[in-house]
Amino acid sequence: MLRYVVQRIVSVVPTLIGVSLVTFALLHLVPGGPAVAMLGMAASDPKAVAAVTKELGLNRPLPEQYWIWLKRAVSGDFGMSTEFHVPVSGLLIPKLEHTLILTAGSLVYAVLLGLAIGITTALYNRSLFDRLAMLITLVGASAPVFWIGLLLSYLFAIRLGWLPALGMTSLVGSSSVLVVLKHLILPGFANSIISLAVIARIVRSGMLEALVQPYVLAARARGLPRWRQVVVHAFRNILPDAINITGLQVGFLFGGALFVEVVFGWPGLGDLIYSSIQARDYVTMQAAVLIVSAAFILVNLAADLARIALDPREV
Amino acid sequence: MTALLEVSGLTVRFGSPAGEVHAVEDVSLSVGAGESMGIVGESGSGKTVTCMSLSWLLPSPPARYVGGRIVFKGEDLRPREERKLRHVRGRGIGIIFQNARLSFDPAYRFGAQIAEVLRAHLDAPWKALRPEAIRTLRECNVADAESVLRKYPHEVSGGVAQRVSIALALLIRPDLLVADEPTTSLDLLSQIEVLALLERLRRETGLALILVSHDLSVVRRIADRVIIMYAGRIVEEGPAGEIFASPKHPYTQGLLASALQRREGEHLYELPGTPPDLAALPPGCSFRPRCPHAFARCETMPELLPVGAGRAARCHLLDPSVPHG
Amino acid sequence: MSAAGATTAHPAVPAAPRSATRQALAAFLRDRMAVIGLVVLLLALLAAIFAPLLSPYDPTMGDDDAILVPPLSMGHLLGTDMQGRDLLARILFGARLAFPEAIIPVAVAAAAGLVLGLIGGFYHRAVGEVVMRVLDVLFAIPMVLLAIAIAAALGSGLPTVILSMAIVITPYIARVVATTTSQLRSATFVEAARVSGFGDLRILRREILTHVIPAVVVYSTTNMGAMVVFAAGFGFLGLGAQPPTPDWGAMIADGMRSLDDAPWVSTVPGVAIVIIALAFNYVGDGLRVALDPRLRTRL
Repeated sequence: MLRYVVQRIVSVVPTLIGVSLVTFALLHLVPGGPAVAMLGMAASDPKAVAAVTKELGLNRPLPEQYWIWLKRAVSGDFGMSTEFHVPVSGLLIPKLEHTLILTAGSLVYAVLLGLAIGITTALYNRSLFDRLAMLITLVGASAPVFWIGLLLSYLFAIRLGWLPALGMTSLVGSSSVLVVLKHLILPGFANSIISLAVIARIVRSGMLEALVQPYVLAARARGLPRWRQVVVHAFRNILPDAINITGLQVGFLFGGALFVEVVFGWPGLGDLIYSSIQARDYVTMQAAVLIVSAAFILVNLAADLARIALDPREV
Repeated sequence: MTALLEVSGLTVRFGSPAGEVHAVEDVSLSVGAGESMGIVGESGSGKTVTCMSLSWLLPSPPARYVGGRIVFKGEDLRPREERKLRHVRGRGIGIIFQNARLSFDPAYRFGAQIAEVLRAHLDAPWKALRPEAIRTLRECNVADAESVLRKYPHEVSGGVAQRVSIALALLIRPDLLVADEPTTSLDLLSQIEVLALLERLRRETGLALILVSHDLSVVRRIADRVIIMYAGRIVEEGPAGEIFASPKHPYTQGLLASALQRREGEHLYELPGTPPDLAALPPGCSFRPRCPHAFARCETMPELLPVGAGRAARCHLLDPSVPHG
Repeated sequence: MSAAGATTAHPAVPAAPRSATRQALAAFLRDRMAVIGLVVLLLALLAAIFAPLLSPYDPTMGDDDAILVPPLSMGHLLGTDMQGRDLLARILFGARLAFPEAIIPVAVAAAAGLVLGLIGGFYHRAVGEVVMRVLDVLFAIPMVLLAIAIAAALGSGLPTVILSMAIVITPYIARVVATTTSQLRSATFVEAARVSGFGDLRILRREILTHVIPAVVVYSTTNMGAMVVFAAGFGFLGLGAQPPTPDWGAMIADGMRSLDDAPWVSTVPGVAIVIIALAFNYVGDGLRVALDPRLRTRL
């Protein structure tokens, strides 16, 4: 098993390299070339173009360009944002944190609600609750995340005024944890819906199978109370699958967070990418893509390792 | 002497896509303290469902308890009273299963599972109970009991798992032990050992035993009384010795004949035909399609009637009021 | 005394087995939701094709007198948006984008994924390994992000959206193909074909292809629903067809501004997306069961 863990960690390296290659390639896809991308509006100024060309080695062979770019990226220098006119690196880290918070919040929702729904529908199989829950989760999983976010925002924030819709920009300073959590309720839930549905379905079918296993009946025969049969025995045996599917969802939640941020004005990387797309700020966009991809890879790695740690028998 | 367990009119059905399965139909039996009863039948005869229903154990969908009354130690057990039933299960009526390894949770070690059951019934911490558990395991011929406690179910053989399961059942000191095909999935040596163990325990502790099997030789060794089941009903019952010496019901005769012939190495006599489909039972005596003596009257279901002291059988051939020729 | 009772009747001689296609069709038709889904899709497709005839208004023309009219009003069944454009018209015309945006990328990805997957699964050394590694990298980047980045770099518009989505989905299909191919590679009948001298790879491809293609079809159709949703994301971010062309995702974004007073502007296109996505999902599920004999329950 140790070998697998090491392999898994090591495999991250070529993937990261691959990601950097892809991101690097993106700059060159922009019509006009990287110079235009880096300079934006100022690209009509030949002096600025010359300066950038020299800095990035744009008239050197491609592999060398890549190396220069990579060195700068690793040292945190991504250039200047053409939209905000500040170094991109300063923008990235706090935004990354916010996105991670949103992802974590969505994960909590998806796991808790997914487990609750999955277990309850299995226990009350074929009941009205079961059918209704399965229908709602199916519909929820067929809807765009940002649309659900909008609906929730309309319902709970605008009409009912229970929860705040926007205004998370104040997180940049450190607001109290409570304020953050309050703002997290809606976007976190909106983002979690698809993953929630997936987890609920897997847990439900796993529990349905586990509950009819001989050892559950034997537990009943030996006089153990119902909750023990369900939790200690049935649930414990679907745990590996539940953890597995949850780990796979982390990536989707991360991606979905990017959309949800736009709807709720959550100051994360998705929000940054969105505004940089609008402003054609390729510098920021490319850096954000790189950071998000790297974070995505590492988050998936963490989820994978957690899965292995929680279930040493399965690999 | 009041019986330890009295079952009357037990009827259990299952819903299935093919139609409702009549697994057990109007079964009545009684077991006295210290008595041992054998239930014999082919697969599908309803013997397993019967013994699983003794503490209303089967989950209620998909099983449907259509009728029946169960009285254990003078107390009427009702199907829905989970709290009361929980105390009876394990403590009053213990069960050991055909595939003992599958009756344990693969995710936990034996020690943990034994401790869990003991804690549910006895009011002492595991530390205090552990020595007794080890002693009982040893008495059940579990070699190296200490290390077995630390093992997972998939790490031991079927024979060891079965012995652990017997030890576990005994640790909560039931009045009645129900053994569902305890030797069927074991190798020959283990079979002999487990049966010997059960016999010894009965002698030593006065435990009542219900042993379910399709194997007559197994039942013959241990049972005082025997019940023969076919297609969900009892077709013959009586003291073991008498039934084996002179079976009255054609089905019992067939069972014995095939068992005997096999032993003497002669030309195999097999009961012709196959057991009926319990979702689509033909009217009349369920054994009729396979019975060499069937006649016109067999189109109606015979009653279970006495055929001697303490014996009964369900067959028109034995009914003096039925003319046949 | 009569002889033993009833003799078992001979089972009727079974009818000639129906062809695999007919069986699959019958299995599909048995799934009520799949049939409903298919009907919905066909109706939607027809509506999209005949939009110019069906639509009461020009979807791009605003009416200053009819701004933010709620649904179920006179003359505007689904209401109007902030520029007075009829929503029903925009939904109908939007369908003309939604279908290609869902179907074409999947078709392209299926083709590309098929080729890449066959290579990756069949050739275990060099070429195959390289292909698989490249796919791993593409998997590592969040789908959403990669698509957005590509689209942003190439400029917005329908072709870009289709291309980005196709690039992003290809690895998933390639992986399905690769695993199936890999498994089949060591199957007995493939060995048999090889031994019989069918050294010609093309014939081997034929053996493997007949098994791989159903898997690709099933995977593609079950994910079509997700593609509709995914495509809407592009529109939402402003990367799809540009205004005034009605794009369902873009319509949702438009409605954000008037969410307080006129929630229907965003809600209506979302409902359309959900209906189409659900229909695709049910059809995909039905196809999955119909094409995989093991999943069918016998009556």
